[in-house]
Amino acid sequence: MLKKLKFAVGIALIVFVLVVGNIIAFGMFVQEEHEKNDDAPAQSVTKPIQVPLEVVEPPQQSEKKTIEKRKPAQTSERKSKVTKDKKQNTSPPPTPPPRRRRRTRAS
Amino acid sequence: MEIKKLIGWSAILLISFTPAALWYFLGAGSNELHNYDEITHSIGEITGLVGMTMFALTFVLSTRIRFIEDIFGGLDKVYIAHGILGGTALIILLSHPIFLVLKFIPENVKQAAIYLLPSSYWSVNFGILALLGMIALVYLTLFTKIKYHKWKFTHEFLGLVFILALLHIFLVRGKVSGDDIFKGYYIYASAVGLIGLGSFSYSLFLKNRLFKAAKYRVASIRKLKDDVYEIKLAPEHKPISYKSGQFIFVRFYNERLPKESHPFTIASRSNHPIIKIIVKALGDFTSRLTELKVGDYVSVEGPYGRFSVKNSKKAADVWIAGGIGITPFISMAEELRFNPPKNDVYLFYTCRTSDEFVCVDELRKIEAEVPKFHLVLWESKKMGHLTLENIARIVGRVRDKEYYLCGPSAMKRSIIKSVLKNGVKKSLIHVEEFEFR
Repeated sequence: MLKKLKFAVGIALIVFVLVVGNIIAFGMFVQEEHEKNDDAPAQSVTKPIQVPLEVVEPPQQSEKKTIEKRKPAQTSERKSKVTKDKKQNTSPPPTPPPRRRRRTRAS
Repeated sequence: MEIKKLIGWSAILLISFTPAALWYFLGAGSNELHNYDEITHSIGEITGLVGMTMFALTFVLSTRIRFIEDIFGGLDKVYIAHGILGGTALIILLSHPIFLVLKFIPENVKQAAIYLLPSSYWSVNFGILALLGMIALVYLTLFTKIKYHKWKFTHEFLGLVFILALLHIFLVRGKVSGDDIFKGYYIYASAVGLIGLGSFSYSLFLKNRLFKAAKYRVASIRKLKDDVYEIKLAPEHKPISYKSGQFIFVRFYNERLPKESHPFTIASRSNHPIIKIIVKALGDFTSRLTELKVGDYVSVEGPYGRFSVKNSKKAADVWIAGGIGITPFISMAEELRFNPPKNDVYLFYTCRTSDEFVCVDELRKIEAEVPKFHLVLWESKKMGHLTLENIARIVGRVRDKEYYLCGPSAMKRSIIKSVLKNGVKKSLIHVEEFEFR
């Protein structure tokens, strides 16, 4: 029994170290990447982009439609929100379950 | 598995999984299991609750309370249950933070990493410290061979680890998570704290004050072999009452010896006022027992264990001893002088060479006095390992016998396996565990 226990605990410890180690390592890597990306626009400040001031004519109806369609597709988050909204609009909304959690931090 | 033991394990599992049921019926429950985020977060919460309850119960199992011993069939079995429960609690608690951060993966690995590292949130830091402490102390127990007294000292720090874990479960809800885990969560947390801390305090401080250990003195020390000693203890006041085959915790008060108590099997017959123990210098402590002097003060706690013929459902038949595992059988054989058995009793005593046998003269004397008692000495170097086939050649049918085993794990395992293969019921096999760690 002791051998089986040692084996199970040993495997669990190895898995824990690997998973947690990888998450932390990748997390730090992602942070570094972010920091690099944050630095990049700061360098380009010296060379400001010149935006020509033009009077933009309001788009025609057909054009407007295309813009509106494209906009939500920019992020997946927005996309899902739109689908959710769409769903809610098409069918009568069921009473939502009370949101009990505020997941700001792991417990 | 015996019914009592089954009840014991069922009770442990029932108590351990009660918070999971509370979480389901009084808390977030099935409402929260809609998507990946909610499922992983919920499993994270449940593993924390269950693991923490199991952790608290490990302290209950280490109190050496008699009724727990009755349930599990001996203190040696209680300590095995304690180890299994502690290991399981650690495995479950290791998965707790992993499940909680899974919801951030793969989109937000950075956030997951931040959650796993210490931060300004002390309520979470307490949890991280507790888990790291538990990992370190369980690792020391299972995977290292440090000296017994050092291990025992470090093992007591699990109480501190438990306090840190308690701080985590009390503070985390209000300060950080804000999750409505279940109604009455703080009552649950208080109950877990009370059970764990109460049991830990009882084992460490209260037990010795409430139940004073019996006072004895070293009456004689006799060298039986190069590394085997017989120590007799005489009571200062009232002697303890015990059954043959039981064991005691002994603390020797000698300036050259560590002060922690150690378990020793009693080798004298039931309730004999002089307690005889036979010690082989196997570990760091036992090899230092040569420093002991006649007249040294000794405190005796116990008796413990249920490895006794008196508890048998029928007359004992086959006793199998390996090496120093002979000690409970010396006591049980002595007992036969005063309570002669109805059936034949065969004692198979196996050692590697003939030099390693101890107390053979005493056992031969008993064999001469008790006609139904038969001693079989087995030298494994010459005769090969003792197997059930060898035993069957002497005792005849193996199926209708009751078995008592004490000795090295490998020997016990191989014999139990063959005995079970031959259709002997598990309830007719009695095993004494040697190692408590």
